Amino acid sequence: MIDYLFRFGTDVYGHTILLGVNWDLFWWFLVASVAFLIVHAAAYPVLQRRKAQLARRIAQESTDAQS
Amino acid sequence: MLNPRTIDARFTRAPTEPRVARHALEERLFHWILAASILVLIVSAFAPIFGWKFHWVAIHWIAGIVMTLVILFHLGRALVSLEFWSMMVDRIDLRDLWRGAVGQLSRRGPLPGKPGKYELGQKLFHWGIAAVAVGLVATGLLMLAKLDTPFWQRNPYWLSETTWGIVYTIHGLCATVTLAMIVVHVYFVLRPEHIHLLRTMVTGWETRREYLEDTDTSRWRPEELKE
Repeated sequence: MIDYLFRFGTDVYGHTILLGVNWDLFWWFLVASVAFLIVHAAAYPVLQRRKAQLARRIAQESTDAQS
Repeated sequence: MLNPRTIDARFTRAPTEPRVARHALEERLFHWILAASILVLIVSAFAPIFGWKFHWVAIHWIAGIVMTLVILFHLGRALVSLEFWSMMVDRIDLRDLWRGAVGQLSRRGPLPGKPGKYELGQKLFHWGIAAVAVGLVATGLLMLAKLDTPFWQRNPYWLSETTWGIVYTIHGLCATVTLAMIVVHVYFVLRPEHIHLLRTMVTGWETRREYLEDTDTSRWRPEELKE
């Protein structure tokens, strides 16, 4: 698991040392950001429609309460 | 979703409309110089990793210095002359987040209000990118010790190998997070409801109508521009 996150090497004494992040993370982050965009683009119209319905309902309830 | 006609209308809205000032010239220069330096940093960092071989080191550290300088400039301006508190997450942002979530889940009111100069998402993005920028600048400046520059000779033994590993890990992690954040940033600014913000970051103004449509005028009151 840890090899998926980091790159390791060996120093002159043969000890394992941390070199940096695993560059495959580049693709993971890129895919995650694009996935977020797709989910947002799909969900946004639905959320906006629900918000508009709620606004209409509140306006209607306000009108009913006044009359 | 991305209706070109809507985008065009919001992007090029009639210049005869009354305008209000949104971004001063210094802020716009900061934004675009920062964007250019980040683009150069991303290409010079990742292209060699994925096989495009060129002399990237000098390009990378010079772009990093440019980024550091413009961030210091922005920090100085933010503390002295910018509307510092307009970028802070406040109680009203959290109340509106709660109202939005409750409204979506239970379909009950009240509705969230309009934002001030910046929406909650913009504020969170700003502080997120600020955090990774601090990580990148701090570790990037340390890495300069490994380079020969006109100002000093390289000294790769300045830190232990373990410490260098941690420095490189933080730098690489912040770089990959930055890349993802840039993708999200570009997506949001290209959305029809936000596309006019791209114009405001180029020209500095938004129309009075856009200001009134999108903003709680009690939370942010800009300067009206003379025609």
